[in-house]
Amino acid sequence: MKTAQYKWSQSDGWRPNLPTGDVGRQSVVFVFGARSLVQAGTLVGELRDHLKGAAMLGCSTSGEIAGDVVVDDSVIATLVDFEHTRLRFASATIGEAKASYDVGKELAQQLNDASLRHVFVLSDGLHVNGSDLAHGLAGGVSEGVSITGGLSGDGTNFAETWVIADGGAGPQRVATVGLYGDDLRIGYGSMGGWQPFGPLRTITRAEGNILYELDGGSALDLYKSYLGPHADQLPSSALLFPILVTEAKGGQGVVRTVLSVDEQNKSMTFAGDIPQGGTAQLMKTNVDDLVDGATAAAKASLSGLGDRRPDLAILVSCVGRKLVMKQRTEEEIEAIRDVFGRDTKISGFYSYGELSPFMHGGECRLHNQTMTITTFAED
Amino acid sequence: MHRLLRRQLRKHLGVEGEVPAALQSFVAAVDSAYTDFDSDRAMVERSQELSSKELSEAHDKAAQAQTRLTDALETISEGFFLFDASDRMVLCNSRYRELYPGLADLMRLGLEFEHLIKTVVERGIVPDAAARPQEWIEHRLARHRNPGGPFLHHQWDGRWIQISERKTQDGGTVGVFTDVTEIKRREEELAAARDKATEAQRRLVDAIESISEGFSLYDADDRLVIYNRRYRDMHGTGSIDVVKQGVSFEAILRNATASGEIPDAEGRVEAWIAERLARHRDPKGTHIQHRSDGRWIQINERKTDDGGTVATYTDITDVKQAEQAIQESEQRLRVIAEAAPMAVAIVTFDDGIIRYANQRFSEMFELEGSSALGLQAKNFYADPQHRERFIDALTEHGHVESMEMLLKRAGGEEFWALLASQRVQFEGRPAMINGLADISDRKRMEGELHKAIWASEQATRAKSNFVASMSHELRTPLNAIIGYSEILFEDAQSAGRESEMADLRKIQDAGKHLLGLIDNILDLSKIEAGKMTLYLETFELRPMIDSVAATITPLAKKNGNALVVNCADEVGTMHSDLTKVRQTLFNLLSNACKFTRNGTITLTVLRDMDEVVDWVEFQVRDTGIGMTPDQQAKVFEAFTQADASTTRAYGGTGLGLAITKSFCRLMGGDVTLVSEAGKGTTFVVRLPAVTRAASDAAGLAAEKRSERPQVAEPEHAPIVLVVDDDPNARELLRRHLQRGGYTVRLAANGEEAMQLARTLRPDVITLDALMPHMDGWAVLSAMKEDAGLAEIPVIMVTIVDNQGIGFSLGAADYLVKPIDRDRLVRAVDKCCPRGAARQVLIVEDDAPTSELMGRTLRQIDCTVTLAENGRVGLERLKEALPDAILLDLMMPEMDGFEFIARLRADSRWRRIPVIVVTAKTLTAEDRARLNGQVQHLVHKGEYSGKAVLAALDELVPRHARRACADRP
Repeated sequence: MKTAQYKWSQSDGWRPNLPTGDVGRQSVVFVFGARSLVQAGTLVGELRDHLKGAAMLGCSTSGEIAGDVVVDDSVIATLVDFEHTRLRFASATIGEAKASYDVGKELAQQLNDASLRHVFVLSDGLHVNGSDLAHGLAGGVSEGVSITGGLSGDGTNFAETWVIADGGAGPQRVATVGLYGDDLRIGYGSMGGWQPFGPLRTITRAEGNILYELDGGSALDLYKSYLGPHADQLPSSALLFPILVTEAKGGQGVVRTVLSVDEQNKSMTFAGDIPQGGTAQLMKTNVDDLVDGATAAAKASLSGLGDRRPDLAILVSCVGRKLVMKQRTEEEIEAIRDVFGRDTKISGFYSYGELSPFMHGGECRLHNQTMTITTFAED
Repeated sequence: MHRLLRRQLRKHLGVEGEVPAALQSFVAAVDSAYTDFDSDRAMVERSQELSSKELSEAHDKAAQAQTRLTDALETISEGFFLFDASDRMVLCNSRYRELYPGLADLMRLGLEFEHLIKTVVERGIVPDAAARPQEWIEHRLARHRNPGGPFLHHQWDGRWIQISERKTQDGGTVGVFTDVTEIKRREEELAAARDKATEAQRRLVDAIESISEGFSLYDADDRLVIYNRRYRDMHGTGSIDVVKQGVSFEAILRNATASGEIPDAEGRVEAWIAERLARHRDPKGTHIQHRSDGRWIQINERKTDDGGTVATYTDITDVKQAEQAIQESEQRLRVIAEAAPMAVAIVTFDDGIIRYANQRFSEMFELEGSSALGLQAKNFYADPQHRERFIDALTEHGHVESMEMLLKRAGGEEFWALLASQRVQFEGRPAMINGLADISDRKRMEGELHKAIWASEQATRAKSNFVASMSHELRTPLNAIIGYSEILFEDAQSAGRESEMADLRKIQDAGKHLLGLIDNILDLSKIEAGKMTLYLETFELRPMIDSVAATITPLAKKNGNALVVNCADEVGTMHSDLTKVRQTLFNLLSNACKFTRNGTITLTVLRDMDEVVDWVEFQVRDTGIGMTPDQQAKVFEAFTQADASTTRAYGGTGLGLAITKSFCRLMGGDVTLVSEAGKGTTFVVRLPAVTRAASDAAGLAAEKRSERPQVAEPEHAPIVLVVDDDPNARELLRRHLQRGGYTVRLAANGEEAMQLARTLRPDVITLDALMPHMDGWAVLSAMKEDAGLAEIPVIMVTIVDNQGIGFSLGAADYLVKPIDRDRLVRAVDKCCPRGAARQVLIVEDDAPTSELMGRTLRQIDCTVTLAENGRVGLERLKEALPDAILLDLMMPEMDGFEFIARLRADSRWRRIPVIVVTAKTLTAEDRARLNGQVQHLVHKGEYSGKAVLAALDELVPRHARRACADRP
């Protein structure tokens, strides 16, 4: 596997300069960039022109990761040329969130065959029910095929998110790449670093991914009381206090962040389902805990590779983490770099949601507030 | 150095590794500040963590407390809820949920009370709210916000819920819900029980009031407790007002005696009161008290268990009066019996001894004075069987209305008496009272009357027989007179001899008139002799009416009359005697034509369905001379015309209407008339659309009742083999035939019939057409093929109308002598159409007749062959095959019946049409004989014993003379 990384910034342009000439047939360019740059299309066009033959897969972000640096308002392109692994791409437009499961399943079925090893997915971050999408994808592939990826971001604007695929770039899209062949090794790890605090509250009224009431009272009112002066900056300020949601029957809780609020109905819309009758608990964190989480995710992602070091690691980290860490955001990337070493090419983005199985495996789920890492290696 | 500071130095100042000396102290200060901040933050977080932990513990405790509270609330049997100050549900227990299963989907924390109440109304959980839902909701919410005392809701499922709400200190509301259905139910039961008790008491009072006796109950202290109105009313004016609850028995007695209500107490008041009190306190069954108002009261007193006295008082005044009345009436009865014109005796049942007899009885039996008393009644019966019959009847019915019996006077003289008897009680013993009238004179007269009637009947029968035979004798010469005068008339006509024509016409007319007279006399004599029978068939009315109208039209025109027929095409069919219906209409129409000049004759046919019968009504209206009421009264009598003078003016025999009336009645209908002299007459004939032949079953039943001894089969009597699968039919025939003097053998099916026929060689066989396996027709064919049996005559007995079969084998038509020329021509034309050469064989023994027919037929281009009897006829057939045969029935050597049988037996001749020529009107039997090779066809529905016998009598002399030789 060969990798090359190109960064574009307003001050420097492309660094290094984009090459000319064909690249390998089994190659893909992962493109992560600010929504305005992606939407403008110029840079993506330049990539297509220069990296002929490579397929393109990317999205808008809330911050781009390259090496051990986190930047905004840039485009990061990572060319990956697989030696043995074959690639196939599938993308679709999602009309409404309700169709998420069906779209996920449809795409997975397009990719699925006996030699499919892994599906990497990038999805719209605002108009998709991530839980359903993950469930649909998992339902469309054979057992043993792992699925990872993330929901595209839009800074802290929550206005519009774009996905880049061969068919073109645009909002409300889902793009996937299937990786095939026995020579491919995939690892993944996903960890948050958030601690629940305060009383355990009962979800007394919720429909789908919309939460109305906790303990018989307005959930939004309760939430606002926690945010205090930050309440004005909802929904982005809600990222500071995600909630831990556990189903009524118990099991592992998932972290959920707010996508939007409705003052009229006193409701909050989340990136994934909120089970009525289950419990909810507010969460908090600090920089150290988040960095510890990132380290744990990186270590976990190595276990799938056996004795191999990863050639490539794609990091999908939640925008909420970035809001908490501010200037210290890069500390979690550095911690990951410390785990992988200098030889691993690192790319990634800050997202509106992460897709991955839990640490110990199982079906792909939607996560919030985590550092989710997918590692690639070829024998 | 702090990691963030190192990165900031690198990023913003490009410093890697050693910090420049100039910045060192600054960087050290910032580094210290970063580190201090981290340390402070760690402390803050630490304390926050601890508080969170403590909060969590406090929360757990609170949760635990709440769980306990919830558990406690779960254990109580009432439903419980708590709403907070903003009226959202905080908690409720499961009992509350159970009370409202219809709201299960709503029950959750945060539920708004208003929403809850609205849903209660929407889902009809409290039906009372349905009438004014909005008002109910507002009322309920107001009560919830400002609770008063407990209140009840009646739920849709019948339960009663008591709701008790109270405000909590923090402005919330707790509610306690108790299911009080059971309590409510008990309350209702209690109320119902109370009602029942009241009702029972009321009923008791009603019952006591409604009994026909007076009733009183005195307690142990002799105070009146309960009584009814009758008891009170029993008392006279002096004591009635005293009678009320609580009064003492003695007080009533004293008031009654003081006002003289007790006649027995007159003059001994104290003694009577003492006796009455003693009886009251120690009752001994019933006693009777006479009151001064004339009433008799029967008093029945009895002690009650608690020492009281209960009594009933029955007014038996009526009984007392009835006893008296009986005594008086007995006395009266004796007086009446003595005065009665009949003999009266009372005889006790058990010993048969006369206990009373009046004077007339003694006189009737020629006894002296009252010596009848104490005598045995049976001595007065001349015939012990008569007495037995009388006693049986009396025992069975309790009375005998009138019974004729032969009695015996003391002197031994026998006499007839009419006896009426009634069972009675005489001095307490069962007895009979007998009334007797001497009817010896009447008996004698009756005997004489019977003799006279018998003689008269004999005479009538003799007359009818005479008339019938005379008529036959008269018709034959008339045949020649009419026929030859007709031929001579035609000859004279063609020769133009006018004067002869007028004379010949007179001869012809006179002959025809005489023939009509004879026919009518014949019909009338048949009717009188009871020999007129009906030949029933089903026919379409419309064609019949058309044919009648066509026939009558020339007659109508003769007098300048118009004939109008009102008859619907779909007037339908009739089952009746076609010939008689036609004749009836002819008679009425020709009468109408006769008595009307230049007028209109209207024939109207209607159907009229009443409740029982479908009637066909024929109306014949004319505009002729009409009749006076006197004439109308006599018009249906025989030999009568409306006026003797009419006979002269209009001709006619005066028999037509009498015959018409007889025919109509025979067919189950009648003819009536409406007429006004000078204006015209309307005759109305009403006949049932379906005429039923008189049932023979009635005749059989009548015979059974009379139980005549069976006639023994005479020796050497002709043998009749009866073949029928129906045992009832077999038995019926057997009885008729045996009585007629025949030996009868029975066969139940065709096979048995064939076998018996071969061994018995019966003289006649009667054969049922419809039988299982081998039907009558099959048996008939088999017999006709068997040389030994072929000659045995067979009478077909059938309920099936086999005219169809018969017709294909039998006669095509028949003609009645004297031969009507036109009819003859029409009949022959029908058999063999004109145009081709036609050969006709005439088989007729009467030479003038055959000659006459021959001449007529030759005139219409037929070749005619003559034969003087059946045998010669057969000879002629062998020589040449004719196109039609004219056949007389009565001929020497071989008659028409035998001839036709032979004809039909030969396949070459079978199809030749035969026209029967007969001197008499064909009977139904005659037609059947002609309709095939069978000698008789008798319909079961119409046959009578007489008919069968008549048929046999006709057959047997011809075919079985040997067997009949010794018959008396």
